[in-house]
Amino acid sequence: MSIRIIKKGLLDTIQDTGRYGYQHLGINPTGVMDIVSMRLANALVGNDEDEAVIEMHWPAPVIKFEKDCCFAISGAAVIAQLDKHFEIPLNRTVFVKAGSQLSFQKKSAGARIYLAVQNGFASSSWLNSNSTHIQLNEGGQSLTTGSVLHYKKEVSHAISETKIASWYVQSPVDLSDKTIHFITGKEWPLLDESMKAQFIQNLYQIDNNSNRMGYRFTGSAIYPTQPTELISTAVTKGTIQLLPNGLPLILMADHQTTGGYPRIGHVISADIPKLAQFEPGETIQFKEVSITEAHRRLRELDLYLKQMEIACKLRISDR
Amino acid sequence: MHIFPAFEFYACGDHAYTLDAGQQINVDVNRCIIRLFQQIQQQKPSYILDIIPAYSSITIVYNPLSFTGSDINPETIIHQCFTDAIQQTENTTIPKSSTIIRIPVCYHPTLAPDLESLCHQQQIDIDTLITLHTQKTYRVFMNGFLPGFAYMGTVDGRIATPRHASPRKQVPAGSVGIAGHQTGIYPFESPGGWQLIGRTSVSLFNPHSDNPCLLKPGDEVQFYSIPLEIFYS
Repeated sequence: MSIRIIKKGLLDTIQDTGRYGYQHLGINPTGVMDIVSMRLANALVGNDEDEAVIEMHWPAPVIKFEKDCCFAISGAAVIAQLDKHFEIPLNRTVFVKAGSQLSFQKKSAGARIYLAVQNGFASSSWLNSNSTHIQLNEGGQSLTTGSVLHYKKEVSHAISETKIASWYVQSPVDLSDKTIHFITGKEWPLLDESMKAQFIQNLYQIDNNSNRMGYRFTGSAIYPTQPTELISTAVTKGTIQLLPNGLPLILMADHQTTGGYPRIGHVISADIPKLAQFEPGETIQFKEVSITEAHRRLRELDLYLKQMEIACKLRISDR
Repeated sequence: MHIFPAFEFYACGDHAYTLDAGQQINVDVNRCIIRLFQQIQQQKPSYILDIIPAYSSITIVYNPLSFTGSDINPETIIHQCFTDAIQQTENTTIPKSSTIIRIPVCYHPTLAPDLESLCHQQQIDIDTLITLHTQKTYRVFMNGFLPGFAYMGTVDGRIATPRHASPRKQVPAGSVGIAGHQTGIYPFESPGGWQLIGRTSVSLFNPHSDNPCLLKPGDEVQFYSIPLEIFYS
């Protein structure tokens, strides 16, 4: 055994970048909600960017390291502790001796926490991905009290004492900025000018009924100029569907492959990680950008993460 | 022999493009879509993550980061990918499905909570509904909604019924439903809004098979009625 879940959290699963290539069979991609935090955590332990990690929600689990481990935590702003007294900052490389327990005391912001271990977990792959398909219970692993996970490979040097690396990485995501950028969708023209203006000016509050499948909102309703029923067509991560109640639904990692609600817009890929860290009760505002701008932002984010990945690799090899 | 229908081409987010031959449930259009899917799937360039055929549209999901440099426009490349594939498939013969997949369904009120209300609404008796639902051979137009869920159609106008305004929280696995002119089977327990008229014990999705879905686009399906005793045996 390498790590053991002593007490399960609300929803703890193994996730990687998603299971692509099977959506024509109705198999949705799943994968991490916040790919930025996943990549940072992986970078800090020297993993490849798409190595599977544990995605945790709040309340978070209690985890015991039964073997020496090099790990990192990223994502929601939490107070993480080893053996209830040794505080672990986010976005740092941590070396821990076997026997220690990791627990989370307090969360001040964010919705999801990511744990990466050096070399990754030996979780089960289904259709070329280690992402847990929660509905099918296939691939990865849904973690519960008593679950055990093995490291793919043990740490290369024995760890003499638990310690935290002196260096750290900074997340490029600013959770204080509540703007969510979108590009317009095929059915955007079904809204008249005043409805479009409302969509952009409204503040939408994230509803409690939001999860890995999608984010629902409360706010003032908007309606198409004529009632619209569409035959099913593909939808993607970030698609903003306008529900019959006049409120938007944003499709997230566990979204269905097809849908029939009007697609008024699509959240840009670069803003999905930020949205994934917003919690029910928080308010967001939509802002329109072009596809070119969406791609520019995504490349900028990717470049930053690549730099962190390279910098971390150098630091780790120095050790 | 076929000519590809007129279509629209539009972005479906910053990582997908859709080719849409109009809002229609039409066998000929759907054949063209599936043929196009097979063609692109065969040569699948590395920037493509997924190809999703639907009733009358097909969507390419791509990785925007595979296009390095801001001078390369994914829109142009994916549009070209579609038009090349259309050219390659046009005027080729589309093989028609030769086998009919027969699925046993138990049309019994204890297994089908909407059976009686639907019959009442359509002013027919249960036997007539069974006859109307089983006499036609249905085409699988697409997979979607759930892994292995097949959208089939089209059902006789006398039993075509809109889905429920608010979906049920839990529909049992194997439930056979109607939504407008479509019919389908829930592969797993899931929330759902279709009118439930029967249930089957046939397994529709096997995650560990090379062909996980029993029903795939282009397949022909016919239902046949079985009594309650057989369903439970």
